[in-house]
Amino acid sequence: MANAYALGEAASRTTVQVDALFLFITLVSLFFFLLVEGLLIYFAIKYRRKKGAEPAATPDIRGNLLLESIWIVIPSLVVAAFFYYGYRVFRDIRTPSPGATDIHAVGRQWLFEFRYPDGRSSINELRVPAGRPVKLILTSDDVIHSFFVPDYRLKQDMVPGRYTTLYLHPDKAGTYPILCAEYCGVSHSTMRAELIVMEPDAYAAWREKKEAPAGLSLAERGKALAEKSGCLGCHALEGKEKFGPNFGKVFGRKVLLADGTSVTADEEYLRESILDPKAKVVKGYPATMPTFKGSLSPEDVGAIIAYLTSLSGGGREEKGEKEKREGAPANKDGEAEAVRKGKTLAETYGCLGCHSADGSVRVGPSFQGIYGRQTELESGGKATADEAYLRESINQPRAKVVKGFPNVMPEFKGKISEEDLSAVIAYLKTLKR
Amino acid sequence: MRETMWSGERPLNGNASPRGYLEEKGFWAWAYTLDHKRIGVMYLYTTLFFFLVGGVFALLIRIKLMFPGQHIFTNQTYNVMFTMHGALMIFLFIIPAIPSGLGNFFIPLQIGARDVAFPRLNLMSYWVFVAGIVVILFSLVRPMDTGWTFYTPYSARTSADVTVLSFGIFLIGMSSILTGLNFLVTIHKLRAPGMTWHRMPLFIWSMYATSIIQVLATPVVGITFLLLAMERVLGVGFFDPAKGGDPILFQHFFWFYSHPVVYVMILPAMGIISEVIPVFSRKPIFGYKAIAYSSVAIALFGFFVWGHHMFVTGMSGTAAIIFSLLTYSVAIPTAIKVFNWLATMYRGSITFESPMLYALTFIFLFVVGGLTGMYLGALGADIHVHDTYFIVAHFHYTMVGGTVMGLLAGLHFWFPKMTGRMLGEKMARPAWLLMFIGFNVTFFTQFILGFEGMPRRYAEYPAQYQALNIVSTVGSWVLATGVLIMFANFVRGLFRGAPAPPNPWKALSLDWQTGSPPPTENFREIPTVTDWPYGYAGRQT
Repeated sequence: MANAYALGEAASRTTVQVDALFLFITLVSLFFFLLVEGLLIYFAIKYRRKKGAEPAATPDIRGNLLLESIWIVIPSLVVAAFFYYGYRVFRDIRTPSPGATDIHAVGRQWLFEFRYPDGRSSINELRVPAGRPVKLILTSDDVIHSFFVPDYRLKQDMVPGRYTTLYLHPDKAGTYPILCAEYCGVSHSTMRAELIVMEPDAYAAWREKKEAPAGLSLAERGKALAEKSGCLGCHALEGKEKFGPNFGKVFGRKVLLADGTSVTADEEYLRESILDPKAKVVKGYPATMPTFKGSLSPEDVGAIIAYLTSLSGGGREEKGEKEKREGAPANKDGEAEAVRKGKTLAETYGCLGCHSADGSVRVGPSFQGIYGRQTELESGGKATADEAYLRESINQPRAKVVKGFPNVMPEFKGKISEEDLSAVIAYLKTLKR
Repeated sequence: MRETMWSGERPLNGNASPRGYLEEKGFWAWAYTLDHKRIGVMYLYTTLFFFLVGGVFALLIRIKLMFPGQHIFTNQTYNVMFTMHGALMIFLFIIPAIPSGLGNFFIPLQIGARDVAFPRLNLMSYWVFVAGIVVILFSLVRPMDTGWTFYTPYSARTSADVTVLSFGIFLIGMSSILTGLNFLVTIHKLRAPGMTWHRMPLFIWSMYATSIIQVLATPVVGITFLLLAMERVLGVGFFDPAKGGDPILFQHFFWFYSHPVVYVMILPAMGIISEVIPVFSRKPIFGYKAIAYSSVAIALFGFFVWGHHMFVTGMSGTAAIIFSLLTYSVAIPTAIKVFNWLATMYRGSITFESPMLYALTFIFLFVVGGLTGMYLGALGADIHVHDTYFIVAHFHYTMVGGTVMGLLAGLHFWFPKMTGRMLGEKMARPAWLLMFIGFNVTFFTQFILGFEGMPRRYAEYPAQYQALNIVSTVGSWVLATGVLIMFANFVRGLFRGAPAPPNPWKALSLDWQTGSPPPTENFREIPTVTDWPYGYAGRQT
């Protein structure tokens, strides 16, 4: 047990507080344990009757008011002390810490996503500087999960449709496991993340590096942001529309608004629509888009607008720049990019929670060598995992279930764009045996 | 050997036939029986069967947990197995075994009645129980993977047969309500002349308290499962936030039943201990009224503490503090009982036949279960160990160390009365020893695992927890060996046991003042009671 009863050695002050509470209850309980079990064994030996002996005449003791009062009053005082100490620790854990950084944490089958105030987000990795309290705002996208940091002795459920909060005091740099503690389905036990507490300097350096990803144009950064922020869940690029207007060719178009007026979709309109979507709703669409005010920084919004511009054939300068950078074999590089994107998507969607990339069998078949593999189906037939099969199995996994695997994969139809689907398949193709 | 007599006055009731109530044979004689003893025996066979089935699941779970990664079977299979282990053990074994099995058999005998108040209702309870089992078996088509707690929204979304399984449990709950009602009326109306409330055996007091809980709490879980079925089948949004419901509401409903129901499991076992300790100590029970009233107090307080299962769900701090305080209030009547049992042994003349061994084991293990509950009531500590193996260890110490040991004390105590044959002590002792050792090895390690942060319901776990998991698994084999020897001893006793005298333990309660096995209507004539059943002081046989 990594118990540290001294502040400074411990991962967090909560570790010290909770361990001290445990120690207190353990010592008092140990006393009662020894008392009761000791008396039990002592009486059993002292008053035992020899085998075959006649029972001795026993005294007619039916009660003793004083004794009974004592063993009502003393345990009452003891449990009152337990209650009070437990309450004190609980109060400290729950008391808001001034100056805490707000970080949103979302549980999803079967991963943790963290969203930082500056718009960054990460999967299964919570990176914070040591010495600065964190206010976690927890929720879930699907079923109940629980955010558990054993080293901090803290736990808080992540409930869909609700926000719960948890204050972390990352006092000591290090890497601490985060575990899901509320049963949430087939991969519950592999829903794990890491809390990485960095020295403030190292954290600042890491953040700077992270903030200016090398070699990405603004539009490319915008594209990544649009994917990460879930824009593409409602806005298709082209083709069949989802909940909102398509992104392709939106820039520069004249759009009719719900109130009858019309507006040109320029940068300002796009910016306003990202930060205050209900201000000017396009006619024929529901006003359901959430605001991204606060979750996307002005730079991020700018990047997304640059991306939207590039989709409409605008932003020629950037496009030219990109071509310049990539040189001739644009097609091949495009493919490599799709593979990279597919890999990120497979991680983000949690595919890798159930499908390994290294040939080991988890909940579902391994991704390694999946493309082109001959598989036996639960329904009896056989199938070759070609592109059409993979596409179907992602969209409607229940249609063809591989023999020997549980029928538990959720449908991704409507949740994944055509482009993303192609990227994931491109990634799968690369995982050869 | 002269038999110990009830108050020393009344002659022993003889047997109409040496086989007593077991005289009539054949399937229909059992299936249509209105005899509370036969119904009790049918319950015992059924529940003990599911004890073994649930035990097999437990062994498989433990084998899988010897390895941190994916081994032996898939995670999905593992999830199904811990769900089935929990659901079968709780709903088909531990809740009904003592009340419906031993309670059915011994409540009328101990209060000097010929049967329960509503024998037909009693038979119906059994068959509704069986119907529930059949429905549960149907759910195995798409086996449940939600854990026995059915938490929404997972249970509202999973493709497993939640609706079917919860309907099966609904039926079993109905059977439980009917049995509870039957017992309440029986205890109120059918006590023998002269048996005042304070002359009732303590097993009757505990069964009375248990029945109150069964009647008041079980409807809540029935309603909850109906709402869940409506959500799954009709799409009404009670619990799923996507449909406008509240998943935490489900937990409130669920624990409003499922916390009181842990007292349905433990109170009857405590009743058995209160019977066994004085008999084998040859001394009056200490603090009769304190034990009797504490049963009722536990039943009542038990209704107000359900929130302690939900400290980390995001319930308000104020609510959590109140639930924590109320939770500790249950500790006091429980502690009173333990001290009273100890005081009963003081200056006794103690022998250690198998019923007494199990009764002492109950006290020993239940004290550990109770003391570890102290951590869980304390808010700051519960937050850390909630939903870890600490909880698993704690409730196995109370439910196996407590209830199952109480049941086994009762089975060994009453085996001669129920079957007319003695159980062999030679096999009973090694079985007990193996179970005691195996149990502690299996579950004490889990306290440590839980404190170190291993969450429960984990098919795979971080490798750092492997060593203790292996120890725990080996312990489960020792425990299982003990259980097997014990069952072998039961079977041997049934066929080869020496004929039992009417009162082999020289106990004073009315159940021992009739034949072993008792005749069909229990007593040739209804006895008149003049004293309490614990007058062992100074009594020589």
